[in-house]
Amino acid sequence: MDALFDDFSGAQKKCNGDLLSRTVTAGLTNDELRAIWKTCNAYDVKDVIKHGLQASDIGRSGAIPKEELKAWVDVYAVYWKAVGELLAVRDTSNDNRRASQASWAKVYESWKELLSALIKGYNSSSFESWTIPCLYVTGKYLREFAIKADAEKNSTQDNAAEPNFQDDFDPEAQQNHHLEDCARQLNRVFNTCLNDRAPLENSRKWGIYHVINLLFKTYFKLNSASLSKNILKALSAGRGDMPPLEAIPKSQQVTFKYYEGVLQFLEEDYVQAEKHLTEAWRMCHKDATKNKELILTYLVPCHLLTAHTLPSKKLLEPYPRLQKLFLPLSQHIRKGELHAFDLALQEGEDEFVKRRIYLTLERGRDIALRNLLRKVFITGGFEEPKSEGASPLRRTRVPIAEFAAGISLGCQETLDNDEVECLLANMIYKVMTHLLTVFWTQNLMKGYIARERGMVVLSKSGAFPGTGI
Amino acid sequence: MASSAATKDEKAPAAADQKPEIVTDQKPAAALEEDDEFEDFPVDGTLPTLYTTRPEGDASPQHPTPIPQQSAALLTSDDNLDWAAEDTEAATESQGTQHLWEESWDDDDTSDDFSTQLREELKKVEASKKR
Repeated sequence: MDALFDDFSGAQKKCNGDLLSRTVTAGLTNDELRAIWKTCNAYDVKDVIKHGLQASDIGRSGAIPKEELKAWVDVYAVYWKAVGELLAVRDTSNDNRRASQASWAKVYESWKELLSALIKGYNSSSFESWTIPCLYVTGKYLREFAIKADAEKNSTQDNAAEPNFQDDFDPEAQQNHHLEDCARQLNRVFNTCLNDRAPLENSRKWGIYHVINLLFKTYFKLNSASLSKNILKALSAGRGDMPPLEAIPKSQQVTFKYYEGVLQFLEEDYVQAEKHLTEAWRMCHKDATKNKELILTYLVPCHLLTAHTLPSKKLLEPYPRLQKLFLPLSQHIRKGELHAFDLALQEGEDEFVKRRIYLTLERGRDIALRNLLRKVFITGGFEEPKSEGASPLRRTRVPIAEFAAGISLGCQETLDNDEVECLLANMIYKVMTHLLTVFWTQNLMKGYIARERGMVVLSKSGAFPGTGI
Repeated sequence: MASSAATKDEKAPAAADQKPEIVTDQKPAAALEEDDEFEDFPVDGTLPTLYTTRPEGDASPQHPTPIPQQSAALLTSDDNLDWAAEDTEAATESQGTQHLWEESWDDDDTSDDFSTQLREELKKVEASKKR
């Protein structure tokens, strides 16, 4: 506990929020926790802490107002209790000494009390804004414990096969009981940061992105990603008044951009999604393989739709999982193997759906089809030159039957000419949603269908815009 | 076509890549759900001194705090981890992002199986029309 007082004193002297956040952390070894736990008991804890803080350098200097010091005493008293619960649960995982008593649910509850004590400290406006790391670090552990408490509950329920006779039993809600509560607590923290009216340089708003990232993670885990939109709305409502994202450590920036991008991806706003995911990608630490893999999981389908380009081998090289996910599809798109593309999409369906990228990849079929039609066009060769020396012209009148043959290649069934015409008309009609779409649009294919003659007449200057022919 | 030489070169590694792919298939998809979350960055970085301003004229509030030795372990996944620009992914791709993406149609090699099949199909169409 003395070490804690020293840290508190040192951090307060230097206004170092990170250092201060280490006095309310759960990231300690059992021995460190035990050292804190053993210093006092439930009866004298407040006195011990009060004396400890008062006797520390900063306490003696009188730099901290009495009110504030009292609030810190409350915080550390709750922290001490939370440490006890944490220690109990960690000890039981080694041997079952106090099995009946300790549980992650209790750890969660005690940590929630700690968070409440901190929020109280801020709302009574005695805690200064630089101490904000305490708040989001506590929030981080709260989320961790909520997940553990839910896991613990679900596993014990599995074991105890006793039927539950309670009415109104909603297993879905019960399963994530703690995490849902945690989302509410984090929301309180979010509001504590958001509603600070102090001038920006001295505002709790500096902690807002940390909290938002915690909320994003929580909402995604609860399968209610859409709730994140409310957060972003609240954030953009106060945009002019927020710290610039660039001023936040990169670890938080990248996380924020990632989730922002994924949210836009899920709303099918691929242009914005690509922008944010690309920023996340470029700023990501080069050794954070797992995170880079996650970014690419969404960036690759995004890029396929916005730019019609595929990931290079080199890009996917370090990620076997992504290779498995994307390489077969990419190959088929590039070669225009439409039927093989359908099969690959079907085969990976479960995985794609789980990753929330199925619908996006499905739209890649257009590009596979475009490439197939392009191939038919190229295979058609050149017209005989009308005059000698003239540069050869591609055969731009292609029978629909040829396209039909290309489309049914590889699969047993053959398509009606009507169906093929429909596909072709779509190709001619569809415009690629390029990043520059505002200034410049491109159709997938240029030309028209001459129905009565069963021909497609393609443009002589760029039948497949953007592909070099 | 200019790209045909390049695409040929690509072919070889493509075939080679296929094999290890199957080997790595072993990773069970079930594990995916567990770690489908953006991680804290578990890398070495520096801790910035965050927006530390002590309004009431403290002598030296701005100085970075030396991290106490015993808690250095905590640093490995700190929430305020920051890193230099040269440690970002962008810095490693100094050749530009061009090589990351390939055109979806960038394969004008007409000698692969699929193209051969296609040519035969088209010949059939032609033949049936002449009849």
